[in-house]
Amino acid sequence: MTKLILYSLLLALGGLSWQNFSGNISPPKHFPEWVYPFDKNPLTKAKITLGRVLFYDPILSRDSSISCASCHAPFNAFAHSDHALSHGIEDSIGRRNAAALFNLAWQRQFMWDAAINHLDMQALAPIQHQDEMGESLTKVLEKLTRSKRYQQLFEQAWENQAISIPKMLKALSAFQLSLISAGSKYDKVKLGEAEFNPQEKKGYQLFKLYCNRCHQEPLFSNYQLANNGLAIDSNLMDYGHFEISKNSKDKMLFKVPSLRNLKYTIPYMHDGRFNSLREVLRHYQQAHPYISPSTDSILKKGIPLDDIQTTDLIAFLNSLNDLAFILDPKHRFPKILLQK
Amino acid sequence: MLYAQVPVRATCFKQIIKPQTPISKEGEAFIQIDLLRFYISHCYLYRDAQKIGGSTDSIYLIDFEQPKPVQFELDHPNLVPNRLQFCIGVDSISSCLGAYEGALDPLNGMYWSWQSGYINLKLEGTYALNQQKEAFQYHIGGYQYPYNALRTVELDLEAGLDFILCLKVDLLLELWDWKQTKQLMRPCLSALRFADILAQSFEISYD
Ligand code: HEC
Ligand code: HEC
Repeated sequence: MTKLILYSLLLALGGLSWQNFSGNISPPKHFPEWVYPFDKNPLTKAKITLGRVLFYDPILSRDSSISCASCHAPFNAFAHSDHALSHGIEDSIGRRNAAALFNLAWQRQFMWDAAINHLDMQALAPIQHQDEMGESLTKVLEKLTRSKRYQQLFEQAWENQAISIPKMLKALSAFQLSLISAGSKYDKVKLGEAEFNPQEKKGYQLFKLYCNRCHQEPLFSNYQLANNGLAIDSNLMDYGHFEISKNSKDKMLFKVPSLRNLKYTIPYMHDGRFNSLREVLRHYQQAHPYISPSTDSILKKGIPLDDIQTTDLIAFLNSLNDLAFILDPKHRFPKILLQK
Repeated sequence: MLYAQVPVRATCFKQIIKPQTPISKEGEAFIQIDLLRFYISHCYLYRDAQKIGGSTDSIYLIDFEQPKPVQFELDHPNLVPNRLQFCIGVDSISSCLGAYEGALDPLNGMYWSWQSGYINLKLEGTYALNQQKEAFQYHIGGYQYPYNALRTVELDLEAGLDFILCLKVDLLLELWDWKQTKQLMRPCLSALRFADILAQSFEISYD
């Protein structure tokens, strides 16, 4: 009896964690628990709408030329295609490839080097960065407070409380948290709605053997730091997590990216050095015995993949592309920004 | 419930630091402070080993342009406190909780967006060095091992609740050896040393 009560209580609590706080968004059945603290920032439709407008509005940049979407475009799974390194205000060029944005509710650390510990605080980096949006928070707050549009949108999202930077940040999070990619062929297979073809099946086996320990399914990342054996680019001199920790053990540690939607997020790696999956796999096939002590042992020797296996693995990776996510009208440029 | 307000103040050679006001040492210009802001948190009053009061807010941002007092709620108003305990900075848990209004609002300019985490103290201005001016800029913070710059301070109280918490910037700079390092902007060993010295530069005054 007590067991039963306890069990129902747990169920109720478990249910609470998303049903009450994440609005009309729920975690896909085959995904693990998400880690974003929704109790501190309950999702509502109004907040997601506000976040979406902010995301597409260049008002957040100094000269109103750059929005978040300038570097994170919906048709690129919210990455920046064609550019190896991101382009910001006044054509300045950043140091890294813009990350794709989806399934952020399952991540605890953000950026390629895991510099940022909370999604809510992430937007502070691009807004204030001289080479990205180059704007001060005081100015942002002034501009938002002056705008009729934002007065209204904030009012709807926060029931008449004053516009503030923390509210802006939480709204941007709300929109980004709503970007859930779980509609690929792989997902349909997991839910029993489709089947892999023989090639994909073979690729899946290879994936589980060689890639899953870092690019863990079903998110296709464990969102931890790892060294996958890339040599340092002598121009950029980007040592990954070491830049933050200054601990030499952390040299060349980068956050493992998800392998979903690779079709839309070319080029690859933190500096966009590879332009195709074949190039990526060629990198993994090579031995990396001496590059760095933090290089993962499985990758030091190189992964043995022949041409047929390479093709099979790529077929499987293609089953992770989620066209429904890319085309979802709820994620697109909001028409409200066209009105004066 | 009874409350007590404890004013916080920053001084240099016994003068209260004011914006855009040069401070002299033995009649000669020595320093001008343009910005001084710091967090204090987890403030408690003790009578011997017994905790008899705590601050009503968990974190205060003290700005020398308009320092706000720390408000204490007294659980045992009949007991006279003889010890004050507080932390300088934002603890590691609060540093990872996301966006907050009030003292922790990033608008206060006390958040390092490039590495996540609050700046526990900002001290900026110019030294007057043999007629020459030299700018200095200390941003002290860090919440992650091994560069956690949060420090706990304990001070004895002698005459009950009518005290002022005072940061003696002259003492801080003397201990710091300001001629050596004039820029400090990230979590590192020097920042830890600065934090240690900062923790020794507070005193209780009664005037
Ligand atoms: C100038 C291009 C640019 C702009 C503008 C920009 N970003 Fe980014 N974004 C990047 C780059 C590059 C990265 C990867 C940075 C790194 O790892 O250091 C990134 C990373 C991110 C991440 C981390 C993703 C992850 O998986 O770790 C999030 C979230 C994000 N951006 C959201 C935003 C939001 C919200 C805005 C608008 C306020 C924005 N970005 C504006 C280029 C940009
Ligand atoms: C030891 C962990 C580890 C293993 C094993 C591993 N990867 Fe990676 N992978 C990473 C890391 C870390 C990155 C990001 C590196 C960077 O940009 O510096 C990455 C990046 C990638 C990228 C680029 C994605 C993007 O959005 O830029 C692809 C594609 C990729 N890996 C595929 C694979 C495949 C396929 C396998 C198996 C054959 C594999 N990885 C095995 C850690 C790993």
